[in-house]
Amino acid sequence: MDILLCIDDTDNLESVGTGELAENMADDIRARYGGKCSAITRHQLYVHEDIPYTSHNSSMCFKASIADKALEPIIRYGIEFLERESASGSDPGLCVAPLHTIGDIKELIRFGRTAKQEVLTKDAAYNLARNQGVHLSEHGGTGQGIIGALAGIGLRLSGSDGRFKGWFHFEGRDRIMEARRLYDSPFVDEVRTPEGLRIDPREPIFVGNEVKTVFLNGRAVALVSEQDGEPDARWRTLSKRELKVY
Amino acid sequence: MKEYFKPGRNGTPNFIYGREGFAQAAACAEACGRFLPDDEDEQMADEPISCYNCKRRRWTREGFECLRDNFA
Repeated sequence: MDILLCIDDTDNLESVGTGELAENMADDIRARYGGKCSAITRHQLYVHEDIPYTSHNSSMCFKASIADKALEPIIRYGIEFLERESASGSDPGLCVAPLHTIGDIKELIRFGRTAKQEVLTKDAAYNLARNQGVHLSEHGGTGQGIIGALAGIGLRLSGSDGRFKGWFHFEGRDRIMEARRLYDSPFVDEVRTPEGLRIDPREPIFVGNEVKTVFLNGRAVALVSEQDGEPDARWRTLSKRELKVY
Repeated sequence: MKEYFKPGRNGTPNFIYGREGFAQAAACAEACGRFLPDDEDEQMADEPISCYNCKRRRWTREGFECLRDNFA
């Protein structure tokens, strides 16, 4: 079966980040349970003084294909992992959603999108999780992380939110390459502009030092923008500054 | 450093240039001496040394607050 697993609020100012813990969890699920885990997406949530986030208020989510019998052991593993690895003072939450048991995906997506704009409550999160057949649990502190964990599941289900964890570095001094090289890399499904224009694999692109993909229409998308006055490459990959809105 | 901040909640320094003050965030971090790079995934500025890329900042709706004094 396919599951989505999302965690939130596991860190403090001096600990490793939630993204690194999510990566460790995905590694463990591969090694211990033979699961196949996707890349991790980062989902930005609402930044508001009434929300006790550490520094960014984002949650981390990934998909795993697992044997049916592994679901309960993975949930137990996730609980133990967060109780062991979360930083002191954090408010960690875990959400595990088996895709085939979700009642109404639209409700989860709505919750996720709302969590980007409003302060939500733990009660609302627990009620929705219960109604949708989704595991949701808190593991220390106030447990507020359950809100972000459930929201992250909804946003991942939406197919278009956030960015993938990791920056990808292309070797070599030649920064201009055909888009084909991006398409051929395992972490890129599509190369396109923010406005939706798909870039032909033969088009030359100026590739910055680092490339990050964003999650759009269920795909890992490398975004490029048109650059003026560059005869050798009409397109360039977006910078960190330009990607911060995703 | 004072020119970049004003006191916010509980006296915590709030960056006065918001979320788009890239030049000021870079200059501030260069002058600070306590810049600590955040996870690369959480870095928002193209300038490597920038308050926007520092683990010791906490984003707010308007910009960020500097938590460097909360670190040992």
